[in-house]
Amino acid sequence: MINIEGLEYSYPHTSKPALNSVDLHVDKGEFVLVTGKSGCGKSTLACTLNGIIPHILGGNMEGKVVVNGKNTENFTVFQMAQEIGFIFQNPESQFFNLQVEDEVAFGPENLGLDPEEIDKRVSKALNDVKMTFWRKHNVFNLSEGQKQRVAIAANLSLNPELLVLDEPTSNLDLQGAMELFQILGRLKNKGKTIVLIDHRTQHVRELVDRVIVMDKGRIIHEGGKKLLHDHEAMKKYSIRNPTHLTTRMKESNVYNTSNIIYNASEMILEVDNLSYHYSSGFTLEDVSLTLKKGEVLGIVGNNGSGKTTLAKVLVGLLKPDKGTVSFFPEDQGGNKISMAHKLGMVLQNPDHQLFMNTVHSELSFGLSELGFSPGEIESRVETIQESMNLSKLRNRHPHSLSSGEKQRTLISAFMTRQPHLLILDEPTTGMDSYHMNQLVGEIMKLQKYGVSFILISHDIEFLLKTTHKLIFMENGKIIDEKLTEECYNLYGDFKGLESFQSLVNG
Amino acid sequence: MNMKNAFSYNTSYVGEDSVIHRLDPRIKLGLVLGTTLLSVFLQNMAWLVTLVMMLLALSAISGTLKRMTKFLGLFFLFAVLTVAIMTLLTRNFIYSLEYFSPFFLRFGVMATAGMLFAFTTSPNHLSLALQKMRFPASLSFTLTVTLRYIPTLANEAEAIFNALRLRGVYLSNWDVIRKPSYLYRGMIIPLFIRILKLSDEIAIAAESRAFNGGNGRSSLKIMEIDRNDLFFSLTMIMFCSVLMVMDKVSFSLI
Amino acid sequence: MFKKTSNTGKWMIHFGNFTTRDLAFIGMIVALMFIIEMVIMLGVAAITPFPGAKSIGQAFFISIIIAVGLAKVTKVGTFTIIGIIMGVVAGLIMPAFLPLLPAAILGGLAADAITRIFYGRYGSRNSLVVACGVNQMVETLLILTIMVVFGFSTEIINPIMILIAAILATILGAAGGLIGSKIATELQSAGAIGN
Repeated sequence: MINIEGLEYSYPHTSKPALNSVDLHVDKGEFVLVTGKSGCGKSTLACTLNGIIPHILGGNMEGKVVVNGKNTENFTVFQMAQEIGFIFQNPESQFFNLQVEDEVAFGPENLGLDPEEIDKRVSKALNDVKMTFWRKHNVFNLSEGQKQRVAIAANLSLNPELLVLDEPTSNLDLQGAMELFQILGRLKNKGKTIVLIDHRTQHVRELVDRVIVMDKGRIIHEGGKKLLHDHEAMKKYSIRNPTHLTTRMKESNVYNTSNIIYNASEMILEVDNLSYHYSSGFTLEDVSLTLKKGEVLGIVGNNGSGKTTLAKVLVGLLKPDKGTVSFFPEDQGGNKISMAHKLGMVLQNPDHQLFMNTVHSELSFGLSELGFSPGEIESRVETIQESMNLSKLRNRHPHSLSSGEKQRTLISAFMTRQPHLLILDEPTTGMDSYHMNQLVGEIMKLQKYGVSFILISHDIEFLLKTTHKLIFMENGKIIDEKLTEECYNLYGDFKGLESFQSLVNG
Repeated sequence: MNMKNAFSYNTSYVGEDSVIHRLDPRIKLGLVLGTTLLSVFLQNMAWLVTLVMMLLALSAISGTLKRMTKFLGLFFLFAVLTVAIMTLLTRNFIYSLEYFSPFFLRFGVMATAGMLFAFTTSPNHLSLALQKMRFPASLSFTLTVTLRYIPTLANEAEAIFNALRLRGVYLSNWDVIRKPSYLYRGMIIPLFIRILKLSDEIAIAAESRAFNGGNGRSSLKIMEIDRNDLFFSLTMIMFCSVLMVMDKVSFSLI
Repeated sequence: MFKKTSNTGKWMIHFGNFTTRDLAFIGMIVALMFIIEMVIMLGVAAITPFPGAKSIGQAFFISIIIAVGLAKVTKVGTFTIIGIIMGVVAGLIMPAFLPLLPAAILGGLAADAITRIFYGRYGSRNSLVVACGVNQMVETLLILTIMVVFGFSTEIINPIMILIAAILATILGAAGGLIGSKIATELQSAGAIGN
């Protein structure tokens, strides 16, 4: 099905190869998982399969990629479309229409098929992903998981033999991900060849036939699915492995955050009966919580349970209808400096939050607004730059950094204001275990200096490693509150982890 | 302000339905052009008012009258303001009113007809109709991208706006006047970065699904002028002819 | 690029040398223009009775965006596509003001024609400044002339006023083109535009 020989590739304007002597052979009907650290070249490899590389993205490619007998060098992307279905991380950016049916018909329409044939294909594709009921609905009113299934149907309608999925679950909650993998299982049974690119592996154990691990543009491991049960190997390749976490934890207590001290007497935030209504009808109801100095609090819950809304109300982006948010120590006059002292929040997409043309000036952006003198700004920026390991990057353009570096820059930009509290919204989306551990280290370091954190996340492994306490949200309400330590004791084995996960995900 | 709501209502709805919604967009486009031209031709205020009333009646049938009144209200305010300023300048109210009413009525005809079209035609229908009118397929793809991403971009802008506020920059008028670089640094550059990334993703997604510059595209839904469309056009042509004749007659009477 | 393709019977203008990537990018640029235009329209037009104010108010900001679009795509014809799409959106969908359709298309065509004659393609700072200036001039002239046809008082819009508005719009458009070329340069350094 796929035959890659001696593939080398570098992106335009770069000298470092993104792919380096890659050889790969995939048989018809196989389910292959390609995994590895972010930036290892796995997405780049996927893009070579249907000719996006080199036809759309350009760059310098050598070697041979043959898919279903077609050499990508000689066929354009749209000519390859009938051989390969390509599903991306974010379904919204691949939709062109508002109605599910029109979206699925987009592909066959491009082939110029007649309406009866298109209709037949749309029905079949929607049936394959169990979305027939939603045929006439608006794409944007569907849940993330359903959107991803529509994206798959939109590719199936072209009758491809091969499906390539590039991190399809990173925006999904547990339920959405489970449903997606069920669909993939069905498609595998129907004889489709599937290449899945992902660094989350716990749900695909049963489905995969072969695992390929990449690093620095090379394939460094190729083998059967037993790799996914080999904890040492997974650690070596920094593959995400939360099952392993609990056993390790039991043995050595290394991840147990209960022994990380915080000042339990000094309160820095008190939230009292907070409510907020959206015009769409969603409400945040009667939320109360407290936060101590140096405490790390996790907020968990399904997509749409109100986590981000709560955070937005806390930082003042939304005005609460009812209730109070109080920060301690109380304001001295409520000037801008004391506001910035209180808190900072890093939103999900770093692209929305980087403004300047160097990392150094990014750290100082907005500080003059708070009334600091130029000398003071400079000394603060230098200190933070040093302690957050950004000195080497100081003259880089923030948008040219890797996603982990972008995030570090953002956290640092808030640290120059010496806030008491930092809120991070889904900080580990799409992160491999190496970068996640780096973030954990940064959080723990800042925590030692007395910074409190509120972490909004789906990522259990990350939460277990960082938080003291977890708050569970559903439909805009807090439904439960547990010390992370208790969660360990309750859910110390694999089965427990699964149920813990379903609790985290609502 | 919730930017998504402000920009999404006539670029992203499906599901509304009425006789007017089901008309072929080409017929409705004809209506917009026809009434606009007719309004230039008509001299008598009464017939211009009748024309606006007819369009409002159509809008009531389609159930979009409520939405339209919001905009017409704004337009009305503009008209009143203009007349008021003119009155202040000339100290003559009647003169100012007479002076401006033909313009505002014609403008009103065009605005009402335009909105009737916009509110009752989904972007999908419009691009189908444009295809039938030999609009190049590659351009109808660009149009689709534009319409589809207006609400998304408004969301992106809101997210950037929020990120700025978190850094202590509020981008109020005063901030922008004092430091124009905030608008440039804070809004324009990040928006362009997003646009560049999104447009690459769109292009890749389109080609991965066999999009070939729109060459040889077919369509699941077929658009054809049916009996209702013909009936509607005939009625409208008759109505407009009557107005035209009446206008001539009343004009020659004076 | 204005190749006659009568044999395919499609349209007078041939858009074959625009890649899907170009088309998608132009689509996004127009979406952004539209958002900026709506904000300005609600802000400017609602508070002044002089209809030229809107054209002048948006000339600068719209031109910045267009200039970045031109700098990325570089092909002559880009401005016409922007004009057609913007015209369809503004003329038929929102705010559904029909005269914007011919004005936007002709403004784009004029800018493309000038660029083709003097520069061959978009890219240099001068080409962006001139194209944006020409486009704003043509568009403003057309819109105001249409207003007169509709019977707007010639005391408020007289030829001199039209001329002044057009000159102002041209200058602002050119200034926007200048800023746009600066932004394009910075985007290049961020690696976002690869030329």
